Amino acid sequence: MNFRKLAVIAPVLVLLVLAGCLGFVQRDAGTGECIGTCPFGTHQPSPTTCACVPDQWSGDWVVLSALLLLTLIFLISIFYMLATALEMPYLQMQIKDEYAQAIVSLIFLVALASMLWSINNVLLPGLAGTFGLTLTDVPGGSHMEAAFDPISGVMDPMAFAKEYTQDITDALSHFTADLEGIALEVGAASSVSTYCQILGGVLGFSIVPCSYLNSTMGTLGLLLNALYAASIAMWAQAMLLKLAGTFMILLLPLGVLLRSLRFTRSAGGALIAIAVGFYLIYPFMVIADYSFIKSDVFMPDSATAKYGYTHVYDTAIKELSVNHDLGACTGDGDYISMLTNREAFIEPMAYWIIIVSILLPVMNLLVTLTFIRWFASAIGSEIEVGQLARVA
Amino acid sequence: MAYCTLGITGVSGLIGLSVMLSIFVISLIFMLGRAMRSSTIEAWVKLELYQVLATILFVSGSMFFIGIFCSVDVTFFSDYINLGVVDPALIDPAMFPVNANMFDASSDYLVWLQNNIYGSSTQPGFYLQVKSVLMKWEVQASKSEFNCPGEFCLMMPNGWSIDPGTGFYTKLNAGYAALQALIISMLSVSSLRFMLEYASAGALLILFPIGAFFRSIPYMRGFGGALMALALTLYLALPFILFVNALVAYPVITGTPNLFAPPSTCSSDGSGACIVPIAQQAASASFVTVFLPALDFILLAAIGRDLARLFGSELDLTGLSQLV
Repeated sequence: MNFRKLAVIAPVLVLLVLAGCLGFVQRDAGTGECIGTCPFGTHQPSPTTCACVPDQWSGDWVVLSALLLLTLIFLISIFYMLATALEMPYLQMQIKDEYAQAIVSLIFLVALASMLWSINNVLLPGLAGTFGLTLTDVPGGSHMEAAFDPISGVMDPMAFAKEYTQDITDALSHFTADLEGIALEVGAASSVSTYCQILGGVLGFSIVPCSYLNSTMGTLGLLLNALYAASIAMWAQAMLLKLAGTFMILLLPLGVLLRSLRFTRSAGGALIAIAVGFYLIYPFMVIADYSFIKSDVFMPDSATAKYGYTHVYDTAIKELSVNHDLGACTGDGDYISMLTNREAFIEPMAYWIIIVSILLPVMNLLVTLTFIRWFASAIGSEIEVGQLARVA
Repeated sequence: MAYCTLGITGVSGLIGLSVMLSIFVISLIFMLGRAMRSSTIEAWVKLELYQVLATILFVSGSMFFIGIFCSVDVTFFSDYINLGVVDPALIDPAMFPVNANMFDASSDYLVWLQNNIYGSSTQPGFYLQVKSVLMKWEVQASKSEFNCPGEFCLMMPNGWSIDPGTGFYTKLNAGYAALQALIISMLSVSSLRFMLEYASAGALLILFPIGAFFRSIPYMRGFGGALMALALTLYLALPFILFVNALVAYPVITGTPNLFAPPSTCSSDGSGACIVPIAQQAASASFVTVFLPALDFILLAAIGRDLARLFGSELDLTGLSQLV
């Protein structure tokens, strides 16, 4: 498009969009209350939000980014006009370069929006059967069912990643709560000391009949520590997924704007890479986690579900009740056999804690950070994510 | 509290003085060049004069941007940012006072974070909640009960004793790990507050004038440019990034369950399933105070590098991220 035409169209578009949202409602500096009314076609989102927004674009990262770019082109046009009026050819050349960067950012924005639309509407529905990501593939009664559209059956990838994380977090919570209860029972039972004294205390004995249970307390402590670490990893994953949308609304428009300016190009590229990485790659990795572990962890039958759905290791932690009856221990045999059972307890717990809840979330983050570093480099920014990887 | 103003620093006077000094030195060298009839010195002086002019332009531009930055009212942005996200809101509209600028907003955010992670006079934060549970666990773990059911206990004591809270020892390690993570979070927030104070006072009062001074001196130009870039990065980018952090951190912190309120399974007396909610609090605090600042420093390093290039220098801020 001719530069001069765009220079006219951009400010007109900006003014049209801004006309709906600026100046009609504003915060009174004295009272802090909102004053003014919104014009036709716009609304005030809440009484405490002093702004008018057109109904169709509020919160949309594509429109916010486009608006910022149009504003930028508007400013570039003003500067170009000044440079022309003052007959400064070198400045004109520089401004044309900035204009080209703004156009590249605009093209990137359109490409990203198209790609996301294609993934959600074409790619995922088309490949859902191949990758086992249809409604019939997820266990009944799990949170993941809510990620599928009840009519079309199409999966919302971000919702699926969140619900999968919620399912794993729930299972971990149950494991931890059960083990906490068992630890208290075992501790109490193992401390019971029975004593008997005769002849005024000259003769007697005392015995701790369940003291051998003390030997298992270290194992329980270790397990609880590991479950604590696993809960942290899954909660962090849930937080990152929760914030992915926020990154997209906040960081992407800002990144697109900064990337279009010469002196903030690197920072803009980094912001774009971070937003895209956490919005696109991170949920994708979480969905891949589900495909990886579903046959080991999830089963379709929920009839005998203990933790909301059935999984292979459903019997990993039994409903135990270790107690004492003065001189005798009760329930200790089942407890000991559970704790020392390699196939039914040790391996399942190791799988749940180390693979499902610690290794996979860390791998997801590492892959995402690797993508962010590569993508930032691809769009002209060099960032060092080594420190973040260390935090992960 | 960190502040944002050009008025109280006397920065303009310092910078003006340094520029005048540079022009004075250049004039002397020019006169010397004339006296020696050296065309090389005269040409060099002209080049240096252009550099002084460039410095004046850079400084004027920087002051202009700092002025704009200080006059930004963040409540405008917080209103707009909340438009699209209803549940949970990105930020509490009442979190920032009216007419708050970026420094006010980032300071308020860090104070809010300290209140949530440590606690305030009105509500215990994550640290105080976890510490309270751990204290209860320690007491429970030390408890012993004795029972002599017979009627002749004084003469012939036959009975049993029990330490009902022995099992709490197995939970203590996880609790102390969480407490350690929360202490690190508190240290991180405090260091960010001090860094913001340094940015608001030191960056503009010391680094920027010194940078402008050296930027005008021949052969010290690279050093001066780096200092100016560092000052602007700390003064403009740090509070801005912390403000963006506030928008990101708000749903994380407010979405973390209070240890003693539903839906938490942990009771105020330390009984119940406490480890998972404790882990969630530790994870949220670490996410907001360790992960996000690590991300911030990556961006600050990128901004600093670009700004330094603008001033004709090189600046490597990646070492800042090692603070985390």
